Amino acid sequence: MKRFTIFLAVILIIGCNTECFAWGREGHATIAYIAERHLTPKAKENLEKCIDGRSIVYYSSWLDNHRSENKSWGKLSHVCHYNMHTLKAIGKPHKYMKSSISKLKKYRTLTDSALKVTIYHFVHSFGDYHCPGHVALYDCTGEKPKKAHTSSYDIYLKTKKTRFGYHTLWDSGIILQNHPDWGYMDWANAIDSSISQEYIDKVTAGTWEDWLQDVATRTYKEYKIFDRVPKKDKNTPDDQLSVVDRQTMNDYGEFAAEQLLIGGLRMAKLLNEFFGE
Amino acid sequence: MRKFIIIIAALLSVQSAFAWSRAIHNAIAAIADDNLTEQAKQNISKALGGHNIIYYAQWMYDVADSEGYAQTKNWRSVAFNKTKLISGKKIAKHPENIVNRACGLEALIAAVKAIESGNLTEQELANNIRYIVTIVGDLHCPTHYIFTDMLEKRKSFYYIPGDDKKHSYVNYWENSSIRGTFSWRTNEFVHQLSRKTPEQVAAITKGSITDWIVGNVPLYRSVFDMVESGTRFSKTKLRLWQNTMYPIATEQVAVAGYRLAAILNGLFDNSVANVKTK
Repeated sequence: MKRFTIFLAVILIIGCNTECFAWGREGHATIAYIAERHLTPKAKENLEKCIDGRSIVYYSSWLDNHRSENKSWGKLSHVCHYNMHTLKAIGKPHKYMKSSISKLKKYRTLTDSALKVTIYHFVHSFGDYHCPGHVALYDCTGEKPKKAHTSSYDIYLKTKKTRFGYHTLWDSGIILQNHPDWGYMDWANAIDSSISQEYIDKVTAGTWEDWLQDVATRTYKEYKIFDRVPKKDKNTPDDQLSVVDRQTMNDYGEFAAEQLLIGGLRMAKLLNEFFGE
Repeated sequence: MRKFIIIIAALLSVQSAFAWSRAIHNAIAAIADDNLTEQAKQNISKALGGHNIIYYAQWMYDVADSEGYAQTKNWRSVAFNKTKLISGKKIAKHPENIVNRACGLEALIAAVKAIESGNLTEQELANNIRYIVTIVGDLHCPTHYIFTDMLEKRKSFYYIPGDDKKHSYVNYWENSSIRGTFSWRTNEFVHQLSRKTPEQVAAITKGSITDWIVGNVPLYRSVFDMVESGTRFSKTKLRLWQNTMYPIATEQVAVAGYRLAAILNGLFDNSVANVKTK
């Protein structure tokens, strides 16, 4: 019954999510909240002035909710593309992030509305780019980059005894399944209460482009997440799909939690640079 | 197992059928609690046997079926003839049954005056605090406003993608208007919404309790026009529609919390002026 209750809670929470194509509300809110906890008082004050006194957490899933209101918002990809050989970020997602970061560096020159949308994009997509399910590899050896590997395929989730999108699993399933009762404050208190300054310095060393490369490297090379649950043909019957079992979910849970923390710390570092003066 | 699912589903539907959801009532009480003065907080805690107001956020609903509390079922809403408040004896005399039960403002004012009188037993004092906590929340939910010229709109329904079931607009407002976008816990509501500037708080709490309730009318009437009954939403249209709702809903939760704090600070902190009832 206990297992079923957890399963039911997950279904209810996922059921409330009309759009499961990003970290999910809890993941985004957690990253933004961790970032907020690490803002300097000055950066927090300046940043919140730009968004009507609200917390960045309020807007952490804004792009998911509002993307269909405006064509240009819809184009802001949430999945980061990488050259499969160098694992460096490429293409439009990288370009849009670069553009947002350049704008935020001189945020005082933007109009109020442009600034708000730029903050919403940064807060959301920077979080997404730390989600292993949002890493897409491209083969760049030909004339045009060709998609080589993404997380858009079905797997069989043993704990739920059902077919499940692997991307959706990473977006929200792992977080909700492992801790269905946690809100973003619970998450932040659990993973961001006893970290050392050395750890912060280590994960925030380098540039934001180094960080993206780090996400791709760890996703593909260290954790080898896609090797553990290989992609099968879309017509594959349920019982022949790659199976994600409880132990794998536990391992993924550790990786996901680390990404939430690192994403938040890195977001804070950049926001402190943008808004700290 | 099947029975268990049915029971859970039934509980969820009952929860959403009669008020702001419990989570929203908790949020309003928590925002109020966050804005109580120390003296008010201490005096209220003493009156509530050591508990805070969040503990009793939806108490009036919890006791509604207990002996002696049946009348509280009539204290959840307020009625208007278009924009004109229906009050006093006109409530009972009104031909519409739903109006006869719309005594929320009368009950709220009675509870405030009872506490102001200082002539209550311990039990009566605790009950009146708990009435205020629940009623202020309810009277900041648009669907708790009964507009006699818009009664048909209360029956509005819509369809969501992949489901041929009719979904009640009133239920949507009371539960999913916020939960459809945010899954905040009580402390997270406080973090998100208890952040008004002193100037904003002064504007929100300006005037009397009656002014507040009447002042809500233009916005709350417009809420009933925000969906055409029978609408079949696509996934995208549903999201766009929700985007128009959640800013209004979250703001009402914040406003209710600050106003509840203003009432309670006036009643339980000698250094704070009482909010006038009319």
